[in-house]
Parts: sequence; structure tokens; C-alpha cells
Amino acid sequence: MNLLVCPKTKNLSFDIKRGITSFLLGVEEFTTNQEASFTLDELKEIKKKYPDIEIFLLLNKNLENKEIKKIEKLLKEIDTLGLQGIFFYDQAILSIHNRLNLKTPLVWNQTHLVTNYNTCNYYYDKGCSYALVAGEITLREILEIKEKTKLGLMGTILGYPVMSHSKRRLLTNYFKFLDKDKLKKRYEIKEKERSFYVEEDDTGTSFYEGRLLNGTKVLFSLLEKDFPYVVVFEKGIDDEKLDFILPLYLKILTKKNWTKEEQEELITSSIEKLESDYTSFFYEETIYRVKDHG
Amino acid sequence: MDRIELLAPAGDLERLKITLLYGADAVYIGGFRYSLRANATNFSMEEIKEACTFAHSLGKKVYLAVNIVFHNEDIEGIYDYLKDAVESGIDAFIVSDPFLISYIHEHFKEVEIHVSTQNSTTNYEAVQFLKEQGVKRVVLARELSKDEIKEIIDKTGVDIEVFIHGAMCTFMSGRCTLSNYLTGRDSNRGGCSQVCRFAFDMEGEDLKFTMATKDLNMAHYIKDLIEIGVRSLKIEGRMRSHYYLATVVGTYRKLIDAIYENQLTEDLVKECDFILSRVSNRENSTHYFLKEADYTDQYYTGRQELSNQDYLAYVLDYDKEKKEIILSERNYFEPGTKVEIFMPSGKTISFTVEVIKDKDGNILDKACHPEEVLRIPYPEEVEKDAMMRLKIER
Repeated sequence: MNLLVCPKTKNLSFDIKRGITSFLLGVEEFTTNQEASFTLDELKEIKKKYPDIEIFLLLNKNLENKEIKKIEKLLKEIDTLGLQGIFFYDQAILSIHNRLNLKTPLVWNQTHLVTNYNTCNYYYDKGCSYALVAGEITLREILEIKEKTKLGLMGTILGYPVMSHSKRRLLTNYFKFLDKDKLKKRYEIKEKERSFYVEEDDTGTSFYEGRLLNGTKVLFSLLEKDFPYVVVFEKGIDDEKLDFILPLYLKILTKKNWTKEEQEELITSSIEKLESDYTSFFYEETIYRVKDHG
Repeated sequence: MDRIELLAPAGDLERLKITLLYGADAVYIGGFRYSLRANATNFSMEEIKEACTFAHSLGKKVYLAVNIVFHNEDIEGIYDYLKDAVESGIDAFIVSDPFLISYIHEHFKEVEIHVSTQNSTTNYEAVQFLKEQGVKRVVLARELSKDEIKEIIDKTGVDIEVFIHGAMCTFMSGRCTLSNYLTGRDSNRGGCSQVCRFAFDMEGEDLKFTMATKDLNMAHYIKDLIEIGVRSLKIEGRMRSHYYLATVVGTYRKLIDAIYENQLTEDLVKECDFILSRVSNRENSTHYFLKEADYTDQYYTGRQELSNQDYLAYVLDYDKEKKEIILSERNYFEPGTKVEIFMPSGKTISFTVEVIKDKDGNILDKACHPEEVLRIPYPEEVEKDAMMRLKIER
């Protein structure tokens, strides 16, 4: 199992010093919900500078007609770089990839939609190699998907979960109504004492959970089941916390046979250092029917 | 040339009959499982069968929404559910989870597959991909402009369906789980608790942060949608009232027919727009159709959603012998009230109520008991299932 890190800055040296060798990188104009996005030239430079690292790209915005030619050109060029994979949201990318018979492996990454094994198998049949499971399903569901799909499964174990994305400029609109300037990219909002973050960029507005997902406990289960990658989204996490947790995760990945006591100790230390025991939906099911049809 | 389809929602059998009688060409419904309106009344399989029989008797269609994002546990039983729906006479399945595309294509090839707006399809390449998977129709994302819709139609030739009226999601469909995180209800499986209509405290500001959108109203642009080649016009609102559905469906029916019969006038569009704006209790907008949606398309302060008191009574029948309309009361009215009755055929009559009688013929000084059966003298026959509302002063 590898630790795949989506960095919060364009300077990869911080994470490389922490021991990270696999990166998930945004691409300018085609990535949403991330701090650091790269141009194609910058990606080529990174490949040259760090020939031994693994690179996946994150192309996770909904594409418009006017962007199709551009993304087609980009995908062709990316295909010459020998990267490890492309995380995609829009089915247009899958379509172009297959139409042009491109070789870079595809990772199905429709944020909230990767929720069952049948659809994973559908995307496997369409040529995908991996999928990043949704953050809104339980560990039990994740493990069942792993058992029943041929796709290589990835799970997110650290980050501030993105809850929603709008094409609308919700912060700009709010401040325009107030006849004020939007002074920053990210604002904190509260509902019944719970905090969330709202952030606006060129692709629209995204909402984030205010609690940091700490998936250390889950990591042991995913390790046991041979998940090929687990993913960390650094956005919004302090350097001090990253300095602690990334090497810890790398240490956990070095072996499988951690005793219960060792696991408990590592989980406890992660909770202390990250100041979060939030496990999102890993152990908590959502409901959807409040009305009984009898 | 086939006329554009007017597609209406129905949360139950009664609503389905009303929308079809008032002029919808097709209706979309949800069953007890797999629908994104898990908390609407929805249809049992028996009711789906009855719905199909009723619709087909009028030469109209029924589409079944199977548009949740599946979890593992939802997969079991899907074959039997789809099979029963097909045997009940369903004309198309509306899906969002792509495994269903190949599954339906493999097992029920005779039934059309429509891809839900939940898939957030925003470009021609993705539409082309879906076409190659066997999809007959795509309901486009609601974030597209007129030019973008036209380009998709021109480049793919796929049947395209767009929303024309009703509530809008603030977020991209399929990309919103606010409901999951704030209320534990799964938005992508039909449990959406509409967190986008909540008000949040905003750091450093007194005014609450809100993001609710105004309703969509495309009354002025139906002709444009016909001209660019859209196949189906969809009205939102499986959980809306009978009166709302009759008014909205009937009004768009009138507009569409006027366009095809070269009878469209600016006055008619304005009148229709007025009626549509009044029934919804919310302000309207065209959102992305003409421009990027901006601050004018949202609400920012505590919006009062006033209950609409226009709807006065439902017409049960007409007593030809006594020349009296038989009604079921909905809201208060009294002698002297100026009213209009709009009928499933599109005809509207206006008059002033002079006499109100109870079901036994006793004279009443007012109508104030919902569901009470009343009689109002009127010289000409009025269609069954018509609705009486306050005369709307334009």
C-alpha cells in the first residue's frame, strides 16, 4: 500500500522530506477543491526534478463544451509523461481517453458517487483502473466494495471533507448583496455551533466540513485488505500536524501485523496530535427515508 | 415534426391524473424504492400499473425515476423491481447511477433509458459517451446556457430534456452532500433535507449567510427551447400541490400550443408569466440560460413563504339539471368574490360568485370549511377536475 498525498502547496519538497513518494496534483483550469494546481510545463519540470516519485493528476471539475478541445489536447500530452494515473470526475474524460486509446490509467473519482461495487465494475469494464471511494459511506460498505470489484480501490484517510460544490459564486454574491468586497477566498460559517468552511475559486464555491477527518483507525483495515493507495488531502491542515502524521502513516504502512495494543497507541497519538477523533461516515450510516411506505 | 414534450412530476396517482388532464404529455414518478424523492408519497407497483394504464389511454407516457446513487445494499432486488415496472407498462427509466444503463440495456432493452440531471452532464462529449452506452435521452445539468444546450444538441443528436420550472438546487446535482453532513440524511438516495435553504452565521457579519435560489421560470423562452431542438421540457416538483401542478402544467401547455399554432403574443407570455409567478410563492429567474447565475438569482434575507390563498375550490362535477357547479372547498370565499375557473382543456371562465349553497341546497353566507361540498349556480357547463381560484388582477 502507498500513501498518496495531495499537497497544499506547489513546493513538493516539504512532503518529500516527510518521506512521501506518491503525489496527487491538480492541473490549472481543470481542478477544483485544491490549493495547488500545476501547468503542464510545471508537471514536466517536476518529473525531471523528481524522476522517482509517482504522480497522479486530479482533473475533477465538470467540463464545459468550450473546454473539450483543450482537455483533449492536455490528455494527449499527459499521456506522453508516463504518469501513474488520472483522477477524473467528468465522463467526457473517460470518453476522450477511450476514443484516443490513451494509456495513462484512469481513477474514477466522482467525489460523492463512488458508493457501490456494481458501478465500480461498470467503470472497470469501461477501462478504469482505480476508484477513490466516496467519503459518505461506511467502512463496512467500503470493504464489501473491495471484495466485489476488480478496480483497485483507494480511500481517503485524512483531510477536511468537501461536502458540496456549486458553480455559483456564493461568497461574491453574498458580499455583493451587502455592498461589500469579498476580502478572502475562504470564510467560516456556523450552524448550531458547528463550523464549516466556504471557499470560492474560478470553478465556483465549495463547502467543507469544519472537522478534520482522522482515518488512522480505518487505515489498519484498509492495509489489511491490500488497498493499493490511501489518500491524504493536505488542504487546510497545519504543517506541524502534517510533520507528525505523514511519517506516522508511512510507519504504519511498513507492516501488517500490528497488535491491537499497538494500533490503539498509534490511533490515540494521532487523535492527540491532530486534535481530532472525527471519523466522518466510516462508522455512521446515513438515512434517507423518514416516511414509512408500509 | 414531433411537438416538444411537456413532462410533469407526480408524487401520487391523484397528482398524476391531474398533470395529464391539464396537458402534460408525459409524467415522471417514483416508486417505493430507488427514487430521489424518498419522502414523497410515491407509487406502489399496483399504482404504477394503474398510472401507466391511465396515461396510455390518453396516448401519454410514464417515466419511472430510479435515480438514486446506489449503495451496495440497494443492489439486491433491483432486477425484480425493474422487471415489475416494465410489466406494469413503464415507458422509460430515469437513472443516474451508470451501472443501471448497461443493466437495463442488457435485461430490458425495449425500455428507454433517460439519464437524470443527477449525473450533472454539462458537455457534448459526456452526452456522446452516454449515447454510446445506449442512452436515449439526457436531462442536462441545470447550469447550462442556451448556446451550450444548442451545441450539445447539434453535436450529438441525443434527445435532450431541460428543466423549465420549479425549485433549483444551489449546488451541482450529485455534488452535494450537505444533507448527509448536517442532518445525517443521504441526499443522493432521496433523503435531501434542503440544507441549501438553511441560514448560517457568517464570520464577521451580522447578516446570515444564505444560498437559497429563486425558482426557475422559463415562460419567456419556451419558443427558444423549441427552436434549438430540445426534446422535452421538464417541470420540477413531485411533492407539489394539485393546484400548483394544474396551474403550472396548464400554463405551459397553453404557451406550447400557442407557439405551434402561431398564436403566441407578448401579452399571452406576460399573462402566463404572471400566473406562474403567483402560484409559486417565490421569486423567479432564468438562472444560467442567458448569463452566468449571479447575486440576483438568490435570496439573502429571511424570506417569508406565504401560503397561497388563491385556490378556492376543486370542481367535482356539473349538475346540468340545476345548472350548478359542484365543488369541494379549499380556501375561504363568499358571495361577491370575483373568481375564475380554469379547466383541464385550457379554457378559463371568470365571474362573480353570487350564491353559495351547501350540498343539500341550503344558502350559505360564506365558504369556510375545507373539503366541504358546495354548489354554485352557473349557466354553462364546467369541466370536471377544473379548479376555481381568486380572479387574478393583472
